[in-house]
Amino acid sequence: MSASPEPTYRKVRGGGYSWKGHGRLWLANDYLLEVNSTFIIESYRRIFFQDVRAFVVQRTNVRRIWGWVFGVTASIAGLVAGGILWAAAINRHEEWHVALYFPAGFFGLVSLLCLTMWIINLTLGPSCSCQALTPTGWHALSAPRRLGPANRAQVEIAAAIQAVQGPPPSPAPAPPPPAPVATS
Amino acid sequence: MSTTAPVEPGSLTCPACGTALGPYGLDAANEAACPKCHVGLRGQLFRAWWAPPAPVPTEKGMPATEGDAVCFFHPTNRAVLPCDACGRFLCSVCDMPLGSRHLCPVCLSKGMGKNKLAEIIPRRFLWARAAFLLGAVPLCGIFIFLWPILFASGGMSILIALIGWGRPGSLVRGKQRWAAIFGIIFGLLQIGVCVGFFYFIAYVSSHNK
Repeated sequence: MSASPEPTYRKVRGGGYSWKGHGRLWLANDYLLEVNSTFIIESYRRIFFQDVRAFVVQRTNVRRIWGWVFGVTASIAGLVAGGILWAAAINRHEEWHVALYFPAGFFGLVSLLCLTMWIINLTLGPSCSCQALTPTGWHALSAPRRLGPANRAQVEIAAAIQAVQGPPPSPAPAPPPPAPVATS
Repeated sequence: MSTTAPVEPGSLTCPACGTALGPYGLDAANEAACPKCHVGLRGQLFRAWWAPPAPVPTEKGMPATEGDAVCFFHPTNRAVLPCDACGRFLCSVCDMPLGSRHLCPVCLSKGMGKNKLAEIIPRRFLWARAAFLLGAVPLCGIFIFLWPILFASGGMSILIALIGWGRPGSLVRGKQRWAAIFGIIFGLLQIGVCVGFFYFIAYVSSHNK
C-alpha cells in the first residue's frame, strides 16, 4: 500500500493542561484530533465528525479551586515573609538578623509567584470541560479548558460537524389549535 | 429554546452526573443547568443523534448474482465499493470504514503496521524535541558542577538529532527541524564546555606543581 499523504490540520484556539500533558484540538477534514503532548511524546485521539451526536461545554470548578489554592498559599507565604522581616527589623542590632533576610526573600518570592498565578487564573476566565457524545458515550476532551476559547471552539467544531453530517432536523410544525366549539 | 427537533425524553444524559435532560436537551446559545447536579451546560445536538449510522454488517455479505462485481476477498459476495487505497472491490464484510475513507483489511493492517495511515497513528516520539531538551537542559547551569556528564549528554543530543532527522515528526506540527538543529548546536556547546573544563583543570594542576 502506498503511504497516504498526511492530512492537513487546522488548530482550534485554546489549550489545556492535564495529567496527560498539554492538550490541544486540531481539525482535520473529517475528524477532530485531540493532541496531548509531554514535549517529547505526542499522543493522539480522533473523533470522527460523522460519529458525533452532541458537543457540550460544561462548566467546572477548577478555576475556583486554583483560585483558593493560589490565594491561600500567597497569603500564608506573604504573612510568613512579613513576620520574618518584622523579626529582622526588631532585632536589627543583633548580628544574626541578616540571616533572616534569606527565608524572608524565599517566602516573599513564593508569595509573589502564587499571586501572579492567582491573577493569571482569574483573568483567564471561568473554567470548563468540553465533551463530545459518540455512539460509545461521552468523551471528555483535554482542551479548551476555559469558557471563552471553548465557546469559540464549539462554533468552529459544530460548523465542521454539520458540513459532514448536514443540518439537524428542524422541529415538526406545531399542531393547529383546536377549532372553537360552536355554542348555540 | 432550541431550533432543532425535540430529543426523546430520557435519552440524552448529563455528561457530569448521567441524569436525563429535558425534551430539548441542549441549547447552543444559552447555558442551561442540569436538573440534578446543577452544572452549567451549553451545547448542541447533531444530525447523527436523530439518524444514527447504519449498523455495521457482521454476518455474510450480499450474495452476488450474474453480472455483479464481486468482492476480491469473498468471490461469492457482491462488491459494494472499492478500497480507497488499493482499489480492490469489497463486500460489506470487508469494508473497513475509517472516517470518510473505506479500506480493505489488507491495507488497514499494512497501514497499522508501518504507521502509514495518519488516521490510526496513536502516538509519536518527537526525536527533534528530545534532542533539543537533552541539549538545552544540561546547559542551564544546574549540571555545570557535573561537567563530565556534559560530554555524554551533548553526544547523546547530537546522536538523537541525527537519528531523528529523517524520521516522521509531529503529526500536526511537522518535523520541527529547528529543534534538531538547536539540539546539535547545544550538544556541541556541551562537549565544548566539557573539553574546556578538562583543559582548565589540566592547566591549573600543571601550574600548581
